[in-house]
Amino acid sequence: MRRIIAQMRKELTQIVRDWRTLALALALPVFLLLLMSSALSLTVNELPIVVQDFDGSSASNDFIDAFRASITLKVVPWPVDKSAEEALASNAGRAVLIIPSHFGRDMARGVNAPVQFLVDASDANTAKLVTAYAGQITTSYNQQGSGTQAGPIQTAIRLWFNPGLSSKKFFGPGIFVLGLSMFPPLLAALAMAKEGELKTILQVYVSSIPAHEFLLGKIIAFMIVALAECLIMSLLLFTYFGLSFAGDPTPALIATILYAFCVAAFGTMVGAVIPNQASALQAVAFGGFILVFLLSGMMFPIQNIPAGLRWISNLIWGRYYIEIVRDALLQGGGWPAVWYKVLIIGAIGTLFYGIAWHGMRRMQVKA
Amino acid sequence: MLRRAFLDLCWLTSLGRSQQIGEQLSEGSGPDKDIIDVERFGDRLDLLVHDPEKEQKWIAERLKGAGLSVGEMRVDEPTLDNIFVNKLRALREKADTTEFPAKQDHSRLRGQVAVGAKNLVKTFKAFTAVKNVSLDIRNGEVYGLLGANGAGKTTTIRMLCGLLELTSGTMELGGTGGNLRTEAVRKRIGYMSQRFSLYEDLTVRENLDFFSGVYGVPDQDREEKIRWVLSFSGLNGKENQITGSLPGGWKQRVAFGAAIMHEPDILFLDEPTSGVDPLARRAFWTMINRLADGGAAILVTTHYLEEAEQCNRLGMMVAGELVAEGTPSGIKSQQSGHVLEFILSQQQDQPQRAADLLRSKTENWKVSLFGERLHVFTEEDPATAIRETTKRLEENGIHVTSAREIPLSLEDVFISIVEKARAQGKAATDD
Repeated sequence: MRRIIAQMRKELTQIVRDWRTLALALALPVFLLLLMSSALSLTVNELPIVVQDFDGSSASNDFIDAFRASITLKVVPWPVDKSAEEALASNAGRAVLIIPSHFGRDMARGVNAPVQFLVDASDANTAKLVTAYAGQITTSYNQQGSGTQAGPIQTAIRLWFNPGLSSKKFFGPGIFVLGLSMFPPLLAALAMAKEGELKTILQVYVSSIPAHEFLLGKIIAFMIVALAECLIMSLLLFTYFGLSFAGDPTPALIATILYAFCVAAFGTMVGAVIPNQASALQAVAFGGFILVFLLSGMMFPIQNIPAGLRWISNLIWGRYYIEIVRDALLQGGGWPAVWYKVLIIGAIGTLFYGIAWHGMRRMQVKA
Repeated sequence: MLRRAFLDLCWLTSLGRSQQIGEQLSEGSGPDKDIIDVERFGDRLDLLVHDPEKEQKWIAERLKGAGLSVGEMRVDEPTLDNIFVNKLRALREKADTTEFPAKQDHSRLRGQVAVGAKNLVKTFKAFTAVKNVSLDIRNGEVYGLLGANGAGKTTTIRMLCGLLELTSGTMELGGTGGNLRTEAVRKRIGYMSQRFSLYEDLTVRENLDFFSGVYGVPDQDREEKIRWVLSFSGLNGKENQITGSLPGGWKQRVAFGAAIMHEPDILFLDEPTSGVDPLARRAFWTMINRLADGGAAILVTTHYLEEAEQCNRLGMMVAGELVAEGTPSGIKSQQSGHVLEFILSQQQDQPQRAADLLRSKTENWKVSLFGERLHVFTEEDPATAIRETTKRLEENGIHVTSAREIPLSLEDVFISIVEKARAQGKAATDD
């Protein structure tokens, strides 16, 4: 125990001594949180729609007004003598609404009045959104115009957990997890690889501290860093992001401690297996960032990942923590919903610790 | 005028006695005393005195009184090292010699085999770094491992202290074979690596705190041990300096202190004194001898052959093999050959011309030039060789001021062993 404390104290002293790196590691996630949560957005606003009105009647104006009323779309008038293709090619709009010349007359007669809607589908996601919005607007315009009442089935849609469809509330927790998955293991891996690089590990090898105690001391030190980082980011989540615990906070609190252990152990393992700072950095960037970013469901729904790769996400430690955090802050399902995820995080952390120990257990150099 | 008197105490089988005398004499030594400095080389004492004839008599009487006799006494010029240390001593206060706070008594271990290695082999892929090295080092003994760079010393030392897996062979540490990773074994071992391996980004104090923690120094002794290391390193009051900012010699001293804080009885020192000034080197060796006298077994590697003479036994490695082993005087006496010293006049590049001339007829390494002194290693009868070489030099217009046979130094022996091994086709790697 005394040796573990000595090791942990030494590690913390080194971390604090290198305060620039520490400051960077603490400030970057905050920056990331602010940047990505304002840059990333689930909803689309003010998508430019080019409207080419060959009719110019009051009916066509009414119809265009329906589009103007939408907050999602922004109507951009387009002269009739310019081709619609040009509008799309020059990125003046994401779609073109072309109203033919007999629109008003056909409407008045009560016959079909076709309009053309050209959509730039180079960005599939936006194209789908624009099409859906345009369809909705047209449908409701038809209903108003014909004065017909709604059909027998009415859907009353209510948005739960995030009623304002606020992206901040969805991405906030995700980026919080991403920050935690990246920076503490990065510091841990660099510190561990440095021991091998500068050969300070030799003096440790000959001492009477066994590998598991040495690693544990190191991991605890970086757990403290992770928890400090977690604290800073949580403050931001609870204030700027306006999040609060939706239910029982204990699963998230316990999972946070286990996740701190898990990421610290991950970094330490990488540094122990790869005793070279530059390569260790790459490995952590891959594991901590790319895997957690892409395969944890933080950004992209897991069910959208191709089936052949989807199983990988079951191994990604960040996935379980994101689910727990989102549950705690949004759904509030509590222990019944997430208990096994808490256990999995602990298990993956222990696995990392085990691998690091396995590599170091002999406390010997290779050459 | 300064002179150097060698006091050969080789008769005294007990090393403890030579230490006793050495300490008695050094107590009464100092810049303004008759005996200025005392240095111990295994079973030999080196005294720096003003008047050797007078001291010789006085010492002989004193030893007789103690019931001891001196094997041989020789007078020689002081070395540069002697003069340097003497000057430093006069300028600096006497190095702080706080007694090492020993809490354990290893003296009961004396004579036991501390390091027992049989047929150690280490191969790295196709390269064999260590070939069949067998070593026995006993408690109370200072064993010096010599060898050129790349001869396999560091690899050997790492295998011996359990840092490197053996390719084949058997190892015992303190009577324990098999698993050397047990806490009981670890606590008995101290290691100072060739490359500085303390944390450069921590302060001296933080390093010592850490190592006393992981080496398991008991809490109640910790402060005293750390104080001692600071005083030994000459860093009293500088304990909060960042270790990386210290000059190399000081780092070495801190590293040495850190390696012995837990009082190991088996100590491995890989080039402990490289980059350390002569005065501090003395302090190192005083400490090394003291630890050995206390019952520790010490394996040390060094490039300073003068230092190596202080070891009780030496092993010389060439290309991964142990090619010679024995006491310093034993190794020297086993070595055939003589060293002749010619003093030449400095005029017109004569020494260099003389060296070139002699080298044209023999292997390069046998001729070495030190200012106006030319050392020639020869296997022939020394008197004949002096005569013939002098004749040859004079014939070529080089004036020989004086010529004599000088005792083989360890350096001469080392070079000739390495060169002979090389001639036999054992490639000594240069790096």
